[in-house]
Amino acid sequence: MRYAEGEIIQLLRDRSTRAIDIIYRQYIDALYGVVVRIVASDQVAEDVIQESFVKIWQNAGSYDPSKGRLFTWLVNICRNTAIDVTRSKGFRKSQSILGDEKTVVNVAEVDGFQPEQIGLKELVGRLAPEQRLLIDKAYFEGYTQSELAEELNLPLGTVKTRMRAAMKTLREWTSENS
Amino acid sequence: MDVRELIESGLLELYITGGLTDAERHMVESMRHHEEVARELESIERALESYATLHARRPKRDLLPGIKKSLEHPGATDIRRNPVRKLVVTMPRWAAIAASLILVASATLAAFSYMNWRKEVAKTKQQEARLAELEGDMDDMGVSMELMKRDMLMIADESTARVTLKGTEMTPDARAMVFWNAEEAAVYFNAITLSATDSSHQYQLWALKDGQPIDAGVFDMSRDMMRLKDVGSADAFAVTIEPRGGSVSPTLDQMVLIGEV
Repeated sequence: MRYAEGEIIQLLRDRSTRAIDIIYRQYIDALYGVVVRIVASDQVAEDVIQESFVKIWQNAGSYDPSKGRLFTWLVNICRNTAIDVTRSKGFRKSQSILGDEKTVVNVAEVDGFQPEQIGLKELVGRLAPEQRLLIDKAYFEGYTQSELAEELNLPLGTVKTRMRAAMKTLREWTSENS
Repeated sequence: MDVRELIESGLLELYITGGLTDAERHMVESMRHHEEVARELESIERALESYATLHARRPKRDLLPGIKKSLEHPGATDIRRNPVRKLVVTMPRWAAIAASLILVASATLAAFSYMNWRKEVAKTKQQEARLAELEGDMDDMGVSMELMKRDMLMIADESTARVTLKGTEMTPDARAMVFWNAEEAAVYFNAITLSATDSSHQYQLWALKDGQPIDAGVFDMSRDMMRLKDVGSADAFAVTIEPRGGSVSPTLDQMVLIGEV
């Protein structure tokens, strides 16, 4: 059974831990996918998820629906926790900073058949690799436009136009597939 | 910047992904009230949500139970200080810690609550650390905290008898403790030194009252503190080796432990 964001938000406001159950069941795969891309380790990802869910619970009061969707808020918490971990002492990043075609391979490594793989393949077909890279680094890893420009050795203007084009394709694909 | 410029700028995408400066973020927020801007933002969010869902990945195990436990004890999950511990608590250590803390507890506690008891025993940093470790261990054992608290309370209570069981001629090195709270009739058994029986046998605890043995339950060798059957009155406790499943009366020549209350 799928819960609408409004229902989950209400449960969080009521301080019902059922909200955590629902958030987990409904979103864990998406959230775990975000985290594991950043920390590149299942064990670390599990710890990050645990810490993130505690933050979600503790900071539920500060979530403001007028500032964006619940899902975005959940992703931000998980992503930021994951990024913090990669910056902390003793963490060794096994992936190179620049990222590469691995972003696609990740999906193929998922156990079991997932219908999303077909969708992703189709989407991947429409997006140029450099466009996908921009979305991934911005959305999954929180890079700013200037960080992206520096990282990828591109003029800021190019980053902006490329990102815009990438998002346009993504949004077209989304409205076709929803 | 007008609405059209804002939408073309790519800033809205970054507002959602989180890559804006504070100044840029405030600027976007000041424009949110424009219907076109709000619609753009929602559309971008949904697109990114779909994208994230495409990259979804099932965790290798169910993390929800661990999460729910952490919600009760938020301090215990700082993963940068110490990795999540998988551990097995050896019960002699548990018993030793509990015993040393119990002895320290003041006998004059007025209202005997767990929190009071805890405050009383964790007077030094070292005791606090050991107690926190103990509580952490108990969490990791997956035992319900409430149950453990109640048990700990019972064991720590000054009216609970601490009965040392010593070995017999057959097993001179055997050692165990029984914690018996007569009021609640609760019996806790903790093996300190005890070997395992073979698979066709089990240990059985007996309460002895006026020479009469009363069955207090069967158990296999374990380092865990165990709650066994309730016993209302006893002068002594003994453990014998019985066929698996236990016996109605003790096999006296198979006695391994005995101690008086």
